[in-house]
Amino acid sequence: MKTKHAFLAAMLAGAVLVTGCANNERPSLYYNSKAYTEAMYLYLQDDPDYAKQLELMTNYITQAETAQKKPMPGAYAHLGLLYSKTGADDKAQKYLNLEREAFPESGHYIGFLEQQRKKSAAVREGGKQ
Amino acid sequence: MNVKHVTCLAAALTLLSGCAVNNPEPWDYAAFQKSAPRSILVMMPTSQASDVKAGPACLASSVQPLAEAGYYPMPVTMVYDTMRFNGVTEAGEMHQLPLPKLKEVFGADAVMYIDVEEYDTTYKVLDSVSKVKVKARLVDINTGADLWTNSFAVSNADSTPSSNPIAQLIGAVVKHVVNEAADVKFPLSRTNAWYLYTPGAIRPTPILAGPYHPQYGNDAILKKIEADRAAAAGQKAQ
Repeated sequence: MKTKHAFLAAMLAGAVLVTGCANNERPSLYYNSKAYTEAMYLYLQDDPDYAKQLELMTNYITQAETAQKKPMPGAYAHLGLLYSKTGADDKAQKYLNLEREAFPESGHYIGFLEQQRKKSAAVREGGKQ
Repeated sequence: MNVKHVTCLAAALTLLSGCAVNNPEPWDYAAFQKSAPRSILVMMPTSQASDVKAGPACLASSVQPLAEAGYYPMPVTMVYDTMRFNGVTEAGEMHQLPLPKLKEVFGADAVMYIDVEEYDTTYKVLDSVSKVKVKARLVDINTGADLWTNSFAVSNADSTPSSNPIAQLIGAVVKHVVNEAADVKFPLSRTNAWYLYTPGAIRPTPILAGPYHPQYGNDAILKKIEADRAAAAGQKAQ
């Protein structure tokens, strides 16, 4: 009986060790891929190859959707930025809206950018008259 | 690298540093806990290194770990562009921007100031070693209070040199070529960022978990500090 208890105790101790490690292995919060980090890295270096960066980001978003995981914070925004750089303003706005929906923390800043754009558009309109 | 890898690295590191760290004064997390930031404005890092990629690499690398730590890092590329568009082009100038102005534009809860202290490859006769060392400081955007600060370094120095001189030579040449040809410091900056911004990964002063993290408010480091304090108080009482 005693040895059985000792055996159980040893099993439990082992289980604690194992689960102690397993508990730390939480699932990731977002769809993880190096592609997003690489796309940001290229952009921050002023790499002019927007087509390549757009491909990295659209693939990343598609893969996240397929995996049914949330894209990383800022991923929609970065894709929107790339679209605005290439003149696709409607798509840019679409992805900024997606960022704001996914992460309300971005709402203030995106609102600020929209205000700025309205102002500069008004200046341009004024210049035409 | 995924979260599992990081936690395993973190666990291994904890074992190591548990012995190495000579019980320094614990960081006071009171301001951090009180501030409880959700969103972090990560600024383009200043850099002491000659490689102009140092700032972009360490900034891009910070996003994923900070997100997995439970925070919302403000979109770093848009933020960088907004600053440049408004005439602030150098990282050093960006770090001087007044907090009320940053709050007005970005609406973040905290600001992360990063300084890349080392981002270099050292070439020796038969070897080359790349090293990335980063210091990060988190500041409350409303009060300017320091919430957290730490620095961390990683390198690709070979820790298990072969005793065979020919193998050594070949290994050194291969590594030299790799360090030369590939952008090895960028992957190092990613590894470095996972350590620096993963809750619990580096002792004695890890970053706390953010609101999206399941351990938010229950960081192991806070429990340990609490336990140490209680133990110290108990000793005094005796």
